[in-house]
Parts: sequence; structure tokens; C-alpha cells
Amino acid sequence: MRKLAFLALCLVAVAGFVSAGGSKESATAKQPLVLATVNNPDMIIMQKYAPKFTEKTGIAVNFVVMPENQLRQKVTEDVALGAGKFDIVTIGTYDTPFWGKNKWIDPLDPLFQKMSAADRDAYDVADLMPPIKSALSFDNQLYALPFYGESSMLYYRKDVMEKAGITVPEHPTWQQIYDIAKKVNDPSKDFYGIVLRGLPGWGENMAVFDTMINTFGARWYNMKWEPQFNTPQMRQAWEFYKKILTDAGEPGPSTVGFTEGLALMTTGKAAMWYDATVAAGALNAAGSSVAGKIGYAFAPTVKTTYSGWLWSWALAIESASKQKEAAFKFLTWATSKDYINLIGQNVGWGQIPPGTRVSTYKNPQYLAAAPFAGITLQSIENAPYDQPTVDPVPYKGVQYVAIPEFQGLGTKVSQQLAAYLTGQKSLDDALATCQQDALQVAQQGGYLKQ
Amino acid sequence: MQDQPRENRRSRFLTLPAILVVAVVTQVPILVTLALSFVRWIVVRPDLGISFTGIGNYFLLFTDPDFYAVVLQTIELTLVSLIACTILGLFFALLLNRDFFGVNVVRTLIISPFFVMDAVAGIIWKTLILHPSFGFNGYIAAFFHTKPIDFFGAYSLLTVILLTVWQWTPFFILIILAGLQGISEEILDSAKVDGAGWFRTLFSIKIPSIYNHIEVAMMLGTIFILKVFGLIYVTTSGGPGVSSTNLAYYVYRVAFYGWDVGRAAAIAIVTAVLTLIAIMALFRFFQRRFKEWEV
Repeated sequence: MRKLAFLALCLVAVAGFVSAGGSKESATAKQPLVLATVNNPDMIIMQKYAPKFTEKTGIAVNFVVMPENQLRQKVTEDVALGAGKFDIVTIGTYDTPFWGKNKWIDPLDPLFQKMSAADRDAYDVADLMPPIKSALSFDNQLYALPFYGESSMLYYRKDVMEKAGITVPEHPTWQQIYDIAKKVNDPSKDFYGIVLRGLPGWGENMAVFDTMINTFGARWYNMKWEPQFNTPQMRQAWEFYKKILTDAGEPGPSTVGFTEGLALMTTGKAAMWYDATVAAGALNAAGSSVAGKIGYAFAPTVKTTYSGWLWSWALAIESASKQKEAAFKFLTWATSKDYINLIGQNVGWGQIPPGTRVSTYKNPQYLAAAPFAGITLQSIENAPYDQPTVDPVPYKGVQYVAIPEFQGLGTKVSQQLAAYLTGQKSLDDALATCQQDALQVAQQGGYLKQ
Repeated sequence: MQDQPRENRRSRFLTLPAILVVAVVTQVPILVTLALSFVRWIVVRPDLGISFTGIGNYFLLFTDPDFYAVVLQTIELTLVSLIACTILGLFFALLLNRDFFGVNVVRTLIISPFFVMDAVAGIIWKTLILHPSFGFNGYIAAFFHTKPIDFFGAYSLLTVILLTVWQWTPFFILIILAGLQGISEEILDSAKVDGAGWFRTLFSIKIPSIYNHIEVAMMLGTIFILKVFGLIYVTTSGGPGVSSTNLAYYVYRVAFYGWDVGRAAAIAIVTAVLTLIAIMALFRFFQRRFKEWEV
């Protein structure tokens, strides 16, 4: 009798678990969409205006906002292990092609085909900027929709330069920037000549430093995938980065990423900042103490004509998501012309997500509010995505090497750069470690050609 | 009498679920980790598949100079923190083991860092206090017209040690204070009557009486400090380079930056072995010392 009662209890427990699992499955359609995104100002605006999407469609969206480094780990973990915690993920031009190849995210072309003709025309895929669209595609299929696109450029304080009698060239060289930074640097007044990212991370300090590597004539690999950290050009780039930060940069650069750099610039603590073009809106936003005082120049160069990077934070649908159609609705809302108009009218035309649509750069309201629009457009159009370096390379990508292993390799190299900048390691040791790590990746990944 | 073996069997049967749960929770993950340490599995390269690599991951690990640096730093972080926490713990426990106005408030305030989450404590220290541009560090430097100290760059390991000591000292205070409060007043009074001074009482009465408590605090402290993770994650991310990485964070870095599951599993196994050796060595040391005290 007791045994029977025990058995019955077990069955009840098992039935309970099964029904709990079943109810979860059936409830998913009513659950809010979960979106993982980065804590950049444009995404914060998107989060603020997401209730408008809910009003329109009845679909709620939960935002999971993280710093860039954490976002990459969490999202990669989620898609690679098929956890399906997020329906929509914010990824970049780096991730999209091989995530598409790995079938971690869904192609969007079939979903566009399912759209009504009117909705499709209103969205206008042809209006997306060709370099960005191409970088977000794999096998001629679009896998992510660009929320904003960017290159990199130099910001400078017009008032400070005017006072110092300096004219910043529109196409400056790194040597010119060094000279200017040193001249206006005044650490005793907590004011710095230039702010550059030093926070380790392949998307943090390496984004800025990679453009420098390229324009100094260095490269990660040669055509045989042999690492090139032992070349004089690479050495010059490393030495220059340390020199400019030591002589005229912010203190404690290893704690400064995009967000901290933006804060330093908007609080008036720096004369120049070389970073993403997308920051132009935030620099001129209402809370900024330097609004209206910012001048713009192209990314500084040494041996190349253009050196700015090409990047887009884009929205993609996880293959493991159970709410793909709802997710697609959000994607097409947040990357639409209507969304751009919504932000332009409510937040300001200077703060719209830039760099995604050709029509944005024909919009007179935007052009009037964004004196940086011309440089942004030209920088995106001329970003050397397919051939980023002086000498030929077997990879694409300006501020990254477009291979899946770069997330790990880029992080390791970024840590070596930070160790060199802070004096924890000598240049020889740091470069030797990078050379060894890059070789290991080329060998293990099957890239190295004998 | 005849019912005794049957009763024993039933008792064993009843403990079986608990044993199973403990085995599943503790042993299965170790076995899975051990199995994974022999495979090559790079998550971001599903096209390469998962293949058996023998001791390949261990070979890569033992030929990696970073690994030895990380082991040394882990020892440094644990030992220095442990010694500092014990000395400070004893010092504050002695101070708090007195009756003065507001003693309970002071005790609560001193113990509070222990109840702050790693991540929260790390972010507050990093951004509000030690950040060279936005923290007190920057303000103080600007006030004295000097350059702020680069805590998270040039002194990254020292900073992690300082934060660990700040967070774990209250734990030592709690345990040692409990020991001190258990010492009989009569013994202390008779020591006074015998003419023992403050130092004599401390080293001949108090410390021998609370030796068990110090041992427990140090044993548990070793286990907890060996696996410090949150503080490192939010403050230095183990850098610059690997200068503030401990073994626990190194596993994470290889697993979630390099996405190399096999190698991360190999590091985890080596970490578990090293931790066991450290704990056993400490345990034996205490046993020996305890016997000496008893004699």
C-alpha cells in the first residue's frame, strides 16, 4: 500500500513537471520579445521609444542592456549553445556573416517576401546604405538590419583650437594630431589633448588601434596567414599609440572605452577625441557641455588615404527564437524610415540613428542639424572594408579580422596593448605574445598556408 | 535484534536520494569537465566539430607562459589577502569585543562590506572611487595638481587584493569575534589577577582560546578567496594583459572570450587539483599547530 502511495506521488510529481513544461511552451506566443543590446546612447533612445511599437502592434519588448564586452559574450553564448534566451540580438558587421553561416541567426529575405507589398515598399530595403548592407549579408542574403551605421572620425573643440591659434586639417595625419594634442594638453587643469580608447576588448581599444595599425602600413597576417606582429610597421604603430597617450592622453587609459571617452568629451575634459562617427549626435545633445563647440575631421592617416572603420550595430533574429514573426516586426520598425522620423521629431534630428539609409543624407532637416553628416557619409563610403591595409591581406574588415576566432585573438591582443600602455609589459614581450597567439589561431583554425 | 539489519538497510535506502542529489550536483559536473578537457571544441567554429585530442589541451596549457603567471598571481592574491584579512580581522575583532557606546552600530557598519555583492562593490570602487577621471581618485589628484594613480592599470593586482581584503575582512571579524566572546570572563580575570598585561593576555589566553575559530576563518577564507571572480570581472577583467587574472577568471576568459571549451575544461581540472592540494596542505598545517597548542 505504501509502495503504491509512493508511486502515485512520483507520478503526480512527474505530471506536474511535464504540465509546467507544456504550459511554458504554449505561453511563449504571449511573452514579450527579449532584446539584447548595447548601452550606447542610440539604443537607450530605442528603449525609451519601444512602447510606441507596443502601442502599434500589441507586442511588448523587454530590453537587456549590457556594455559592449558583456553583450558579445552573453549573446554568443546564447546563440552558440542554442539557449534561445533572446529573440532579437544586437550584433555587428563582424558577427553577422559567420553567424549566418553557422545558422545561429535567420536569413531575413524570406520574411521580407512574406511582407505585404505596401509594407515592403514602406520599409524600402534598397534605401539601406550599400556598404553596410553588404557587410550584414552572407551568401547574398541579408541576415541583420542596421540600427545605425558608423565609421570613425576625429572630434575637436573648435573654441580650444581657436584660442590656441590652431587649424585642424580636414584630412589630418597622426603626426599632426600628436603635435596639436601635445600643444593643448594641460593635465594640471584636468584637461587632456586627446582621448583614445585604452579599455581592453576587441571592440574597445582594438577598434581604434586597428585603424592605426592599418594606416601605419602594418597588418595582422600576410597572404599566407603568417602573423605580422614582428614587423617594423607594427612596432611603430604600438610605439605611437603609447607616445600619444602618455604625452597628451587621458589618465588611466585602460579604464576608458567608448562610453567613458564620450563622457570625458561631453564634460569638457578633452580637446580631441578619435572615435565612432555615431557619437556626433550625443556630443551635441542637450546635456552636453560642448554642444555646438565641436569640429569634425576625417580619421587621421599615415600611409593610406582613408583609415576610418566600418561598423554597424544591427538587429538580427536568433534561430532559436520562438517568436520570429513578432521579432521581425520589431526589426522592421526600429530600422525603418518612420523610426528615424519619430526620433528626429521627438528627440532632435541630430540624434537620429545615422549611417543606415541613403535617404537620411538627403533629408534637409537632418543635414541642417548635423554638420558632421558629410564626413560621416564619406567615411562610410570610403571605409576600406575589403582591402584595409597597405599590403594585401587574406581577410576583410577594417577594425577587425573577419574570422570567428578574432573575438578571442582580438581580446588577447587588446590586453597586451593595455599591458604595454600601462607599463606592465615591455613592447618586445607584448609583441612576441601577440605573434605567438596569432600563430596559434592561424594553425588551429586551419588558415595557415605552408 | 533481528530487525536491526533491516532497519539499517532501510536507513541506507532513505539516504539514497540525498546521496544521488549530491553526486549529481558535485561529481557529474567534474566528470563532464574532465571528459571535455580531452576534446577539441571551439564553439565559434561549429564546422570544425568536436574531436578527441588526448592530452593536447593539457600540453597547450603547460606550454603557455600565461598559465604560470596566472598560477603565481592566484597564489599571491590568495596568500596576501588571507594574511591581511586574518591580521585585520583579529585587530578589528579585538576592538569590537569591548563595551562602548554604539558598539552594535559600529559592528554592523564594519561588517557591511561583506553583504555587498561582488559586482556592486566592484563597480562602486571602479567608477566612483578609484576611476582616474570620474572617481575621488581624479578629484584628489586634481586638488593636489598631480596625476591620478592608475589603480586598474599599473597596480591592477594590488587593487584586486585591496578590494578582496576590504570585502572579506568582515567575514574574518565575524568568526574571530564569535570566538573572543566565547572566552570565559573568569579566565581573563584570573590572568589579570596573575599580573598578565594586554599582550600577555592576548598571546597566552585569547589567541590560543580562539585558535579553532582562526583556523575555520582561514580555511573557509582560502576556499572563497581562491575563487574570487566577480570583483575581477567588473574591475580589471583580469588585465592589463593577464596581470590581475586568477585561475577562476582564466577559465572564464578562455571559455567565453576564446570559446575554447576543451582548454577551459583542462584549466578547470588543473585549478581543482591545485585547490585541493592547497586546502589539504593548510589543513595539515593547522592540525599540526593545533596539536602543538594542545601540548
